[in-house]
Amino acid sequence: MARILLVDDEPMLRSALRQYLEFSGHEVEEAGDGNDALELLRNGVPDIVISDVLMPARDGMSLCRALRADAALANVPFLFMTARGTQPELYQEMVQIGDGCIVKPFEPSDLLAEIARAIVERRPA
Amino acid sequence: MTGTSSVRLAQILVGIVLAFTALILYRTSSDTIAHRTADDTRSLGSRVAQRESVRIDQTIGAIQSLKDALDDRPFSPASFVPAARATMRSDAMIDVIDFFDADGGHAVHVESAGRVRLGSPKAGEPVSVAGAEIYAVDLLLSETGVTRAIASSHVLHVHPRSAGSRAREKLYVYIAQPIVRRYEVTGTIVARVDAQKLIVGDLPQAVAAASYVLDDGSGHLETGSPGGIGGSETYAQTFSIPFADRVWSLTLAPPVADQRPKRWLFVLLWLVAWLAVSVPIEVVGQINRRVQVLNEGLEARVAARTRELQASVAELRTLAAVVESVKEGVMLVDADGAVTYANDALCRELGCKLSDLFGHKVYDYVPLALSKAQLEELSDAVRSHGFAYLETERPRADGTKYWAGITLTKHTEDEGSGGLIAVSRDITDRRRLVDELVHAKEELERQMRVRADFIGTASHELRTPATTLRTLSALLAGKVRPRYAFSEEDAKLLGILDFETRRLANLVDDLLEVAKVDATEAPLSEDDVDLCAIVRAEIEGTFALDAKSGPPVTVRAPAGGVYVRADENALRRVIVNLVGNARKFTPQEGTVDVSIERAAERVRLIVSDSGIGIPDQDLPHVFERFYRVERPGTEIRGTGLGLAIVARLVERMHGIISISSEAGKGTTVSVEIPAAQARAAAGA
Repeated sequence: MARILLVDDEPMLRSALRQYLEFSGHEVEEAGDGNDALELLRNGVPDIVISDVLMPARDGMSLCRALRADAALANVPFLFMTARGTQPELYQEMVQIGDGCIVKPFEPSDLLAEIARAIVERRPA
Repeated sequence: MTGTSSVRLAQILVGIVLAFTALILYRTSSDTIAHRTADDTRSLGSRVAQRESVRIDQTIGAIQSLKDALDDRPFSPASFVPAARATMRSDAMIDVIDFFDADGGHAVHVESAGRVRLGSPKAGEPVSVAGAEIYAVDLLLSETGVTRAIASSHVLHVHPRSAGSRAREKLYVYIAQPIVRRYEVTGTIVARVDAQKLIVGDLPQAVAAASYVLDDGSGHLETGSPGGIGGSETYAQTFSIPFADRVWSLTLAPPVADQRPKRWLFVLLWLVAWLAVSVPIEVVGQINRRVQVLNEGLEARVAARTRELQASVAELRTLAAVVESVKEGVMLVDADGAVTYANDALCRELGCKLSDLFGHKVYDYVPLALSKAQLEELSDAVRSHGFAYLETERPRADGTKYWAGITLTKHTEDEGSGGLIAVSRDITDRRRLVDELVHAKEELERQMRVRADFIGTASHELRTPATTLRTLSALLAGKVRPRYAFSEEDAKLLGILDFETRRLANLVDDLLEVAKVDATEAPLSEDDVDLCAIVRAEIEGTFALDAKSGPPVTVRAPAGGVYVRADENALRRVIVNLVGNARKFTPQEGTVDVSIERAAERVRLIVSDSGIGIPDQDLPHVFERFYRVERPGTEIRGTGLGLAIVARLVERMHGIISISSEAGKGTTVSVEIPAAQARAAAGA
């Protein structure tokens, strides 16, 4: 079971994913954008952050960079959710600073697999 | 050869003419010599005749003096003899002087040698004095052989006794001179003159080499040479030597040698003159023959050249006729931009006369619609590329306008000078058509862009709801379904929901892909990548684990790498898509083969399956977007975009895709992409 911070500006998707993830046994906190997410991160460090890329206030890239810049959060696994058609350079950066990228629309089960993989890979040996 | 014969003929003619000339010269000089000979003979004769006349006159004068000394004095031998001797000393021609008295008696006989006799002539022999017949003294007559003496007033002519020996005999002439006192003849002096000494003896010396004949007019004859006149009788001349009361005739003939010029001299002259003319003629003839040979060669060349010229003129005429008859307007422009030729078609096109164009600058004639700057630009283009093309709008004669397509090329006959050939045609219709096509294409592209944009935007917008739906559906299936006891039918409904959301998600996925392929202008990279490695990685990673969803995939590839020039991501998508398709339409127990082959400069990737195949009528359309093969009775559904995307990616990698299929037997898709250049060269 993992504590997941889910960041997306779409409430419906957020809600659906939250229910799916909770049903799958995870603990989920939601944030509408990057800033909300950072706010929540002050209260506690999740096991993984799953974030949309394009968001109104602070986007996923910025959020990820902020996490990486923070010593307490730098080691938190970070999964991007993105759409096909993303600029290749952006994609490269996502792969570099994040721990994975899952392309919307995705199969919910694939998301679970990705979460598991990202946490396992991040975990210190 | 005619040259040779004409030279010979000329030489012969010259020979004849020269021969005539020599003959005439010979005749003329012959005549001249004859005249001179005649003149010389005449002159000599006159001189001789005069000289002898003088001598005779002198002799007669001597006797006259003697008579004068005895006149008016009675005859006395004592005085007569010395006087006679004195006379004979003074004139050697007189050798005897006699004196007869009035009665005819011979009184004294004195000889030059000194003999003197006194006495009477013989009786009975009268001596005629003063016109009477004298009967000569016996002594005198006997010594002289004179048979008869005729006394005239002064001369006693003694004829020789016989005609036969006259030339050898002494020829004497007697001169009688009466002595008159007181009108009475008292006696007669008879002097014997030695004619032989006086004239005949003197002649050979006087006439020099000439032959002569002396005639005393009464049969006496004296010749200078034994055979009579030995010279040319033709030129013989006769002269008179008056002697007292009679005349002697002297006939002279010049020496034979002087009479004629030398013939061999003229023959030699002719020969030399003929040679002097013939040799130059020969030389000139040879030169002529050479010149003739040269001339013949020259004429042949001129003839050949003339034929060539005629041929080229004919060719030029043909070409001119062709140029005049074509529908295109043809114009020649020189380096300064002046029109040097324009054909009928151009004049018709512009509705002008040739004179409007000819010689004028192209840019000065407004209907041609060519500015000076344009012309220079075109000339530069022709110089560097060999030709130039220009489309320009020109006014017609009737005021309407048309588009002219002008092709300019070098005037090759005019190399270096920068002349141009401009061929123009009316391209108004074509241009309108092209314009329409261009507009249509632009419109189509705009519409396609709009559509792609729409699809992109729409699908982008769809991704979130699709994910939401998919998540909810999964949640329903996982969470709700076990909680409630669904009827069979309800469970089926949930299944449909799950299936359709899954399909929706795929559809959105594909749509995004299409939009990306269409819309992004981001170029694919061109790297040398190992196709075998990519194929193996994709198949092992994607399909090997997923054994449930289709038949296993076998890969056949050459050992080692096969490098191609392509975009790796695009290549992966092609492989995943093709293999995915093959597995989707092939039953579990069927086969899917992937093979890689080298083919010259390309590499062929073949994906073949033993699946359900594609009906013939659908085969041509499978690469079209949203084209879906209707498969009644099967549940396999696609978005109809997969192959379209593959085809587009292959195309963008400069590859070729082809498909063959047989319904129920299987499908084979072949993709050819360029081999990596460096690797193909080094590795193959």
